[in-house]
Amino acid sequence: MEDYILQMNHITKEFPGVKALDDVTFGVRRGEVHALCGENGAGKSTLMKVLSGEHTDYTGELVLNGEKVTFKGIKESEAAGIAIIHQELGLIQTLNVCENIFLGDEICQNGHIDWDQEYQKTKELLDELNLKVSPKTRVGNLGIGQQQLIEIAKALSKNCKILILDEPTAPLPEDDSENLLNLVRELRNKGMSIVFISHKLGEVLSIADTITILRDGQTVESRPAKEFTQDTLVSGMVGRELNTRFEKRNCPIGDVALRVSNWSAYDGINDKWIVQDVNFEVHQGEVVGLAGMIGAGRTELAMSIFGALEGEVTGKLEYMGKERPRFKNASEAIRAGVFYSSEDRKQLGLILTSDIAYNASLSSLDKYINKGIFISRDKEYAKVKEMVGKLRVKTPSILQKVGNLSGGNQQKVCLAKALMCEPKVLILDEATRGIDIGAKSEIYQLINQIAAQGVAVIMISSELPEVLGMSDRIYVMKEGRISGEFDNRERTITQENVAMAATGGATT
Amino acid sequence: MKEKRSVDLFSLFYKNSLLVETIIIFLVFGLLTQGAFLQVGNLSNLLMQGATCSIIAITMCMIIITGNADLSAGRFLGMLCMVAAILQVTKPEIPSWVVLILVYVIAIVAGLWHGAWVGYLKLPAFIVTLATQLVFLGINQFISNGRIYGPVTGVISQMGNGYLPDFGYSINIASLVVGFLCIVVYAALTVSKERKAISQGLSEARWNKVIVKMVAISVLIAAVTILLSMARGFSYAMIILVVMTMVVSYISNNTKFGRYVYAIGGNAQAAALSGVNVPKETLKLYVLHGVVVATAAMVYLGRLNSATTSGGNGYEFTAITGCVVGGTAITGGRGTVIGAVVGTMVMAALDNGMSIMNLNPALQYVVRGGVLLFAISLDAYANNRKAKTVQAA
Repeated sequence: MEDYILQMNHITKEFPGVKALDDVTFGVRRGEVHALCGENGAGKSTLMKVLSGEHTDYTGELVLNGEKVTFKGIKESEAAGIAIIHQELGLIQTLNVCENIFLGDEICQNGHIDWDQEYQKTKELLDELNLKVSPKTRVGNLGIGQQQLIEIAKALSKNCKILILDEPTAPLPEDDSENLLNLVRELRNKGMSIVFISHKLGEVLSIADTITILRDGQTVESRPAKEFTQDTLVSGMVGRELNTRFEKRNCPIGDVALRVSNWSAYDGINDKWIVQDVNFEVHQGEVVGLAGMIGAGRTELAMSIFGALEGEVTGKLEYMGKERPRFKNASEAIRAGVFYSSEDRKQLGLILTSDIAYNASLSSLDKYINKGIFISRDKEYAKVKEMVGKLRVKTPSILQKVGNLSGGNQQKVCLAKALMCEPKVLILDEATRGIDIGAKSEIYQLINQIAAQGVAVIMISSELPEVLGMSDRIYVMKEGRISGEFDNRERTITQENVAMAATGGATT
Repeated sequence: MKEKRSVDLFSLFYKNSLLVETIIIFLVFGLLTQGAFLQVGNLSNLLMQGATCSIIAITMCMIIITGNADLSAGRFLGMLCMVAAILQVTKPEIPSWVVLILVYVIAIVAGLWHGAWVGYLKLPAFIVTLATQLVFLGINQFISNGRIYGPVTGVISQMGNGYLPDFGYSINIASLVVGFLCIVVYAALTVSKERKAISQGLSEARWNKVIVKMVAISVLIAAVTILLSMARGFSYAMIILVVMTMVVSYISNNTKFGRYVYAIGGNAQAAALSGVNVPKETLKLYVLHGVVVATAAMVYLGRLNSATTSGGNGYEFTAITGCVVGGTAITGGRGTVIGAVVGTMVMAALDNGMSIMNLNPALQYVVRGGVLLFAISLDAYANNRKAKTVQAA
């Protein structure tokens, strides 16, 4: 009998019309990192919600430390030592580090908060995590990587025994990810059990002791990590062999579609230049990768070209061979044929309360207008249907609310919106973040198709393999400047080349 | 199993909550007033009284859908009434349609003014319109010196007090014709819409459901038409209300502007990045709202025949309450024009019924507050439930 701290036996959970979990068995040993893998919708999150007590109407049993338990809510599971850190962080941006860590669990004496003790404890926790910030720093002023560590500190403050990390590295650049992984190893060595959910397979293989694969709500296999390779993991998750290799495009690269020179953008609130002296061009039919750390100014560069950045922008814009004034706002840019698809699809990309058709056609309504003012639903729905089919969005109807779709399908709706504008320059910001492998490779094929039609694609991504596999040319940004430019038509550039430029090593 | 059934009952009730509320109000007041509430004269009266606030609700709901508000509507209405009444009384040589045009010009200017502050300068609409509410009240008192001006004549009088002609018959022929035309057009539109939805694969072809609803609404229109035709018929105010509701409702569903209104309320940042010019659309909406409120003002002035400094006091709240009762989400992004108008009419019926019962005015406030609280908690509860069940996807 092995030393299991947690066993979930024969868990079945049904939603109206869907069996989200079907007789899943999942066990975590004391002091191990247990990775949970699966495509979007495989049931990972549902399983974790059963564990945390968010879902109570399931069948099967939970055994914690050898005792059968049932949790009726998050409070109860927390009290039992289970902490979940979700992909979307649950910190309050306007409160400081200490206030966040003890939120809901304040150390009180006679009804008032014992601040001295709280700050003291916060300091100890932060030291333990090697995080050099003051407990009084406002959380909103920290980077995402540091915020994640604060979440972990919060979990530690509650004496958790099992820590669940749901896609912790998805928003992090490589450096911070590495830090986080080291921290996870340290925690494990101190005897904590960690459930690690991630789409990044390299990371999973390097950190996990055991890997469990879920597919369509069922456990496919659960074995020591040593027995897996990237390929067996993928085929286990997808249920078929998947060609994740990138296809080389054979389309001719045309004239310059868009060029900016001496381009700078100033952020008045933080009083600094976020984009500085950038010279950048993209040709028709070319895919240009824009790599760099988070905060290097890639999104800001894209937004400033698109006319959607608040703040002072200077520099020359050349578009389709002609110099022209900078785009004043997004609607002007879209009318000219430039489209930017945001990295933050929930906040900036989609209107979650509206349906697919509504979202997809929002930027291109001009194309479906009859008699000058009225929208023709026939034309609109026909086009949306065509796009939904082409992008293989999984949905029962184009009138489905976008908020009910999975991440990958939401991303495809964002792409549908972009493509329905028939742009000449398409800027994709982290288009594959947080979506599963199947959807990713579909999106890669799609990018290849539109590039073949002569569209200039700018692809911002923090995932180096994807940048290297897709791009004809790669720009690397660092602290608002271009720190490297690579010709990648032969796909010869390596991760090291790009990483050096992104972190300040040698450039070309 | 048992639980599942009760759940369905709730969503059935929630989907038809306006209808249920209407039936309850009519039954309760019908009984409590021994039928006085249900008399044709009173129903006609109710529709006239409710028309002003319902017209305001037409665009108030769109403003709420964008996540903004207009607290100045009532005082603005009062000021426009005063301007029109003073012009008519002191300068009778100016024809009434010129006064009307002037009122609309003022409304457009005020709409531009609000739109500029809220849209382009991005100030919170709540505060901006709170400020202009005071300004409009001040102007009203300043130009009138606290006096009452009246009576009004011509088009303005007709807008609030006129009825369709009866051509000398005992029954109002014009109203009958208009009413039955409405039914025919409504039925034709419903059928063609459903057919199209089915052909596009967006509806499950539940014809019996569609037909039942269609017949019910047609019978309702027919009953109202016949009842009112036996009295004085349709007033111009009702026709203005219905036509404006239909037009704005159509705009909200079938034009770029309408789409953008919902987009801005659903997620303003995402809308901006999708190419929606948020300031411009907000400005347009406030201008449209100004025009609609000006129409409400003239209907109101025509009915009362005189303007006072307290005119329109609290009308914005009646309209906002009506919007919420009619299903407009106060957080933005969700709601319909028709729902808002019907909701406001329901509130008007409530007021009217309580007045007929001679209920203590203090208690009337309590009842109205209770209804608003009930409507908003119903909405919140339904949303919570939905949030809990949809996570499956």
